[in-house]
This record gives sequence, C-alpha cells and structure tokens, in this order.
Amino acid sequence: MTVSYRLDVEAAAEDLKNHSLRGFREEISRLVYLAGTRDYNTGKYYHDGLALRYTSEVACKALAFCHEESFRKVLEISLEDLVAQLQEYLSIHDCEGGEVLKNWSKLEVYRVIVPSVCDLLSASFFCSNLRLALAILESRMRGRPSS
Amino acid sequence: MNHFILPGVVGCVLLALLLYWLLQGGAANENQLDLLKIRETLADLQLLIRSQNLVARMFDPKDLEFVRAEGDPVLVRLLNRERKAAIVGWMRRMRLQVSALMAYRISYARGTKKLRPTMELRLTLEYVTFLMTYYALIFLVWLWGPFHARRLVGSAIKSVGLFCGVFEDFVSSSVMANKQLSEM
Repeated sequence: MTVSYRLDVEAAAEDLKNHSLRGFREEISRLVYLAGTRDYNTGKYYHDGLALRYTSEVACKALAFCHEESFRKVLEISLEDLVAQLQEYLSIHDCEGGEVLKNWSKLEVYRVIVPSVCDLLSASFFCSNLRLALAILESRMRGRPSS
Repeated sequence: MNHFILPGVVGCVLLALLLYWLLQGGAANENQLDLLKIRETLADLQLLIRSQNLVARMFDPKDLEFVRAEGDPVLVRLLNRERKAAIVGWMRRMRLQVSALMAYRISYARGTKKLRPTMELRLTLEYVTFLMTYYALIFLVWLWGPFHARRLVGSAIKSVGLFCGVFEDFVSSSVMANKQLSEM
C-alpha cells in the first residue's frame, strides 16, 4: 500500500465519519449501517458518494476500516450501555411492538454485523453480549422476570 | 510416605523423557520443519495472549451487577453461562496451542544432536505449571462461576506468557545452533 493510497483511505474514512456516520447517535446504529454497506456475497463494501469522491477501492477500504473501528468500540462498552444503545436503536426501527426485537433474537441478525477481519474470541464475545442484551430487553418487555 | 509417590512418579517420567530425547537422532530437514511449525504456533499463541484486555472486559463485575439489578434470575444464569462458555473456549484454544508447541518441540528434540537439559527442564516446568493453572481454572469456573475465577485467568495468562518467553529463547538458540552447524 503506497503512502498516497493510505492517505486517501484515511481521508475517505474521515469524510465518512464527518458526513454519513455523523447522523447516528449510537455506536450500534453506526455499526449496523456500516455492516449494511457490505455485500454479503463478495464481502466488499460499497458507498456511491464516497466512491465518486475517491475511488471504489478507496471507499471499500475506508468503509472496512470504519466498520472494524466501530465494532471494537461496541466490544468495549459495558453491557448496561449496550442495552441502552440497543433499546434506542430498536425504538427507532420498531413500529410493530417488539417485532424487530423478536427478529433480532430469533434470526440472530447481529451475526451479520461482525466484520470479516475479526478474531474468533471477539466475534463470539460480541454475539454473546448481543444475546444477553436482547434477553434483557425481552425480559423488560414482558415486564416481569422470565420463568 | 504417600506425599512422595506422585512427585517421584512425575520425576521419573520427566527423567525418562529427557533420556529418551537425548538418545534420539533425526533428519535435519524435519528439524527445520519442526522449528518452523514451532515459530508459527508460538506466534498464534502470542496473538491469543494479546486478547487479554478483551478477556478482562468479559469479567467486568459491573456487568454482573447490572444484570443482577434487573431482578431476573434467568438473566443472571444466562450471563454466567455465556461468560463460562467464552472463558472455557478461550482457555481450551490456548491449551491446544500449548500442547501443539510441546508436540513440535518433542519432534524437534528427537532430531537434534545437541540438547540442553536446562532448557528442556525449563520448558517442561513451564508446561506443567500451565497445565496445573488450566485445570484449576476450569475446575473453579465450574465450581464458583466465571466471575470468581478472574484472578486465576490472570495467572493463566501470565503462565502462558512465561512459557512463550522460554520458547522464544529456545527458538532463538536453536536458530543460532543450526546456523553454526551449517557454517561448519
């Protein structure tokens, strides 16, 4: 990787943080958004605006970098904060009384938001934390301790 | 009297192993391959130890406090189960890497003419220490749950760190010895 290419990737990542990612209040929302820019078949990231300003290759690298960074941040937050962030995220997207929460739990949607460059321990810890956070939210939704 | 039986047996086994290795000979190419495998496995193991910050994060007592405050015993059980699975999985991977290293080392020792008993003894001691810590940790996690075994996780990481250190010495001295042999 040449110096100018690396500088381009850094600039594109900054650009992404200052524009597309700025609108998200929660880190988990940012993470879901970034994972959504990845093609699940090829594993490549796409962002039209960024590709126009730079190149599609630079945009792909910048998105991958931001995805990994966001994933690391989510790994570091406490379970309490994760539950709060997830609750906020679900409240924005859930219009049908817990349907999104049910789908996240049942289909384990969170598995697809793990970056491809990730060690086994981090991936399993992330999924474990998400399972716990969802169980806590489900328990709260039922309004009583689960039996 | 019984106190001396187990250390005596362990001592005899270690001595027998050392003698066996000393009496073995082998091909130089296989030796090089074993050394390469040792270096690769050592690098993997060191990478695994570097995730100790994440392991410390896993056992943050704040998570347990938070889940307890939710007032649902099912959630506390789920947290314990999840963390237990994570730590046991991580330790098991570490043990597999350590065992693989020892297996490659034995294979390497069979093919080498110059063995250093002090190094062999240090490696064996560190290996035995790690295994003892590993089984103690697995037992404590099973007995008390993952959050009570935090300190022992630190000891296990420290033990593997020491083991890796001795192995690094072993690799560098073996590389030096091989260089000297090829120059002769």
